[in-house]
Amino acid sequence: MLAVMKRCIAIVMVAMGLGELAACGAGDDTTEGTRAECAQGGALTDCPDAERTAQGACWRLVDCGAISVKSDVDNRFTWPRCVDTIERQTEDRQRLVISCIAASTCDELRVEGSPRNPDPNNMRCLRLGGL
Amino acid sequence: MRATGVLGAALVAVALGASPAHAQASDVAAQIKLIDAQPADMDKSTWKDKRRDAARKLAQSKDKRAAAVLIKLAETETFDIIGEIAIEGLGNLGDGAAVPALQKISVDPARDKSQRDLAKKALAKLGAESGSSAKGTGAAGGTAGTTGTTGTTGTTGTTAGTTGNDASTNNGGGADSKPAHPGGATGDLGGAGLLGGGPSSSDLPALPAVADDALAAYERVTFAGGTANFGYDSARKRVDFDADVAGLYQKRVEREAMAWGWDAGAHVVAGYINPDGAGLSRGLQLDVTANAEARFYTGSLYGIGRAVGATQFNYVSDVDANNPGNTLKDTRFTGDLQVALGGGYGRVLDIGAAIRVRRLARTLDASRALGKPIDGAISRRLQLTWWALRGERSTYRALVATVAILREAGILLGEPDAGLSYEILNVLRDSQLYLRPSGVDANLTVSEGYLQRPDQPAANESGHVEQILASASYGAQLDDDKLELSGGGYARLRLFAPDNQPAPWAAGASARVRRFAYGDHGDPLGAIDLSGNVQISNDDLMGSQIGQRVSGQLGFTWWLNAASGFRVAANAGEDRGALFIGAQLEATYGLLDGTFAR
Repeated sequence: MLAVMKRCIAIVMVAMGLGELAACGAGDDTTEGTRAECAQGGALTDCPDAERTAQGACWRLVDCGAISVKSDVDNRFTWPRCVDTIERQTEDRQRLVISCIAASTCDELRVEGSPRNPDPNNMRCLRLGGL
Repeated sequence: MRATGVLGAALVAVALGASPAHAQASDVAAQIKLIDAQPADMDKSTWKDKRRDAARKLAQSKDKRAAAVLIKLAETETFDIIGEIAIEGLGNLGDGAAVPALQKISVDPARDKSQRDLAKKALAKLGAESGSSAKGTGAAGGTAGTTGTTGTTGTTGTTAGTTGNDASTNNGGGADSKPAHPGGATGDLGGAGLLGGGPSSSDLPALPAVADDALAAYERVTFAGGTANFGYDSARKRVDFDADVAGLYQKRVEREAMAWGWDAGAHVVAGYINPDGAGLSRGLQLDVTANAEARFYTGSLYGIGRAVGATQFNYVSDVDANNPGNTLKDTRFTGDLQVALGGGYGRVLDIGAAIRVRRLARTLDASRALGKPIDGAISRRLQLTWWALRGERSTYRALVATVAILREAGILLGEPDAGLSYEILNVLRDSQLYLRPSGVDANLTVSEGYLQRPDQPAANESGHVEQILASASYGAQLDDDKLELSGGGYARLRLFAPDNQPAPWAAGASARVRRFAYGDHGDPLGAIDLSGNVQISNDDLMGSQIGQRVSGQLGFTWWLNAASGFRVAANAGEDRGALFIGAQLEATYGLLDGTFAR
């Protein structure tokens, strides 16, 4: 495991240097992302407030394990689609969705299929904004 | 030979005797010159300091030329302590020419009582009477309400004598104690001084109850209005509403042997979206949390207990009459009840208020107005006074109370002039002094809890949940509190998970450096911040990957003037090979309006 991590970190360093996107999923088509402290563990674990932007809200979904960072599989609801979906909406809808995601516990943000293949129709905060 | 020796000795004696006289004469001229004009190669604060020294030397010189200079200083320098030095010096100088000026000062109601008293003492040394008009004028300043405690203070670090300021002077604010001219505003707090009209030192707000052995304490009330919007237009006949409102109360007390704290908060998000067509969505989300912690210390080691309760209620209705298959009506409720026990080492305190006191002392010292260091008792009194006044819309009362406390304690020499008042105000308003951590803390706890979760979808964590939690934090304030280093770390691992639930784990660490900058008069100019974050986690689900994320941000905020500033920030993050780079530039430039009206 440690060797895999070292390899990943090495690739990361190269990727950062070149400014390119790179994957280190070893053949995996989905990058799930990393969980924040509050992703599990109930109310004893805490997270900083999410930034009140579309990107910030979608990062919170990744932090909570509700969606993945990216996927090679089309139509998966991942971070880029999340950002696009929210940013396409009118300002009032954006506000509502972003506020809802920021206020929700991680357990409430995860849906069936999270984080690899969540159905956005089941995400209550998106539905609250009428998305 | 003997005669030659005697003659030589006499010459030496004459030379030795004559040299000081000559040197003294030239010194007097130099001192007068220094008092009259600021040398080009000397900054103002140094000059003020040297000028005071020169006034003291003139007073001791017994030189006739000194009298005129000291009289002028005594008559005109009502803000700076040099005025008091001159008044006192005129008494020592023994020149009768000073009597009229001293008599005038001794009965001048615009003068601080300490100056009037000094003038009377000087007149007594000269064998002259005090001014005859004292009756009904000079004393009247305190007749309407002299308050405050009497405390002889004011032994300056550099003054040869004790100035003997009476901290209770001019607190009364008598009607006729107003200064005759703005420049002569030397009255004390409650009276006619520059900061007149405010409370006297004995009229300060009731201080919050904090134990004498408290190392630190805080009480925070945060009502985050967030956003609340409502709109209706008759053209579309459409109603939109959304609100995001949160409130949080936090209290914590740190004592030598124990520390305890609790917080409670609520967060409401509500919305109503009714676009053109048949669709309509509405919802309400309510979160309520309460958290309590207690620590019992033995030296730096402590035992810790935590208890947390949280609930979340969600209601969402997204109905489209034209598409019944896409209709959602859902009500959900979650609840957490958890306790944690463990042990740890050290503590991290928020020392922002203590830094404010230190800044205050440095500000007074730079203005040569610091009579003595601010000790622990006065520091505590200042901080609790600011605490008591935290709800004030204006900083005025905090300023007046601060000056009153400092004057009464003999820390602030003389009434602050306009420049010093501005600098003190800048310290009191400095928003860069909140949440300034100091210390080291690390703890390890084991928790037991019950998590109530809806059945659908099946939750990763539900029912009894045990876990081991570790956390660490660090904070240091360096370089006169203008450089801050802080950091933290966490780790969690679920224990004894049932077969149908995962045992996720996560760990992370963060570090931040902030450098604060201030202008010549204490105006916050901006800050540079650099932060980094490393996280690693595993969900322990089927096919889960170990996630690792590295991110960092460099930001630079600079306030060019009251209406202009910019912030530039760059951030980069990497999460399992996905790289995110961002940059922000926010800039405004302008000048405050220059206006005139007749």
